Amino acid sequence: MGLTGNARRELSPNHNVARYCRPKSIRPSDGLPSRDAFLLRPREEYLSTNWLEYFHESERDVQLGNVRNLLSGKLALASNGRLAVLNVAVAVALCQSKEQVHVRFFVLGDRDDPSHTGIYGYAERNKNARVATVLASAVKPDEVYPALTTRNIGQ
Amino acid sequence: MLKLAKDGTLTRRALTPGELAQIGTVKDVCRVLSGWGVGDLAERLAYLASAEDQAEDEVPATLESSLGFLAFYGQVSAQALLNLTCSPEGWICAEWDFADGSSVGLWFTDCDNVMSVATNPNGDFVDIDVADDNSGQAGLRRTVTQRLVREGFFAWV
Repeated sequence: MGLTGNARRELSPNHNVARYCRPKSIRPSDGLPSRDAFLLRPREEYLSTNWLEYFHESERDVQLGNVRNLLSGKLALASNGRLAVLNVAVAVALCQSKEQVHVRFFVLGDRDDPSHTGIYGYAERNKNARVATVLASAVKPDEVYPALTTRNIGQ
Repeated sequence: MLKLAKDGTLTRRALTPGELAQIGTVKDVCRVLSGWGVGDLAERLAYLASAEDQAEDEVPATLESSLGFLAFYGQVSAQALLNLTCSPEGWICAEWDFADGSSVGLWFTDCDNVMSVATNPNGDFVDIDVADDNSGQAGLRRTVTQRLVREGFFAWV
């Protein structure tokens, strides 16, 4: 899949992305990401995520293993961080129904991380906190995974 | 600094601006929380303000944000599950999950300002936006607190 071909391509509704959630954004009561994990930082235009179907693997473990490998080259992943999976259709529908915001998932694929995607549409101040809340609620508890596994730790 | 009883306890109450001004470190904030009998929150805040698990471009929980949380927590109470997390800017994010499914999320951007979100049991947003132009900018903590009490999420301590 060429990088040029990926430019501003929008993800299919049935596809999924993973969001790396820092340890300090994880709720101690249940180990799930807080809404803070989906809040755009000041001057941030989109939320960075990774497109799981990019890897053409059907197993979630394999998809996430590839994400871990790519992210390890870009970020200092923490062993107590998490990867939270969001389904595109679920996230878009929830944001539309709860806040009338049309979020869009665009492929950003760069050389270091061809599965890089961005969630766009809520950079305005009056949308950020609310959409972050909706996105956090769109994560299924059984779709939250360790950011590192024993295979990745120490890489 | 607030004076603790001999047994290390302190009555939970609203703190005056003068009392807040005397609290000079996050460690002191943790000491007050422990005195109020919420050692788990004190421990959590200490972790959020530490360098542990901190990436290079992140800031640990700031004193200003911690004071904002302390001031809020001293004023109101709720029968809810409370989780504390921290943004890369060092803002404490507090989430209250209520038994009926409603929730409140507050980011304490400094001692006096807070970014707020509240949802009802259906997950629909409750309008507690306090910015004049509905811009979603952080509003005054005092005003947000009043609105959250008025909406029935919290009760005055």
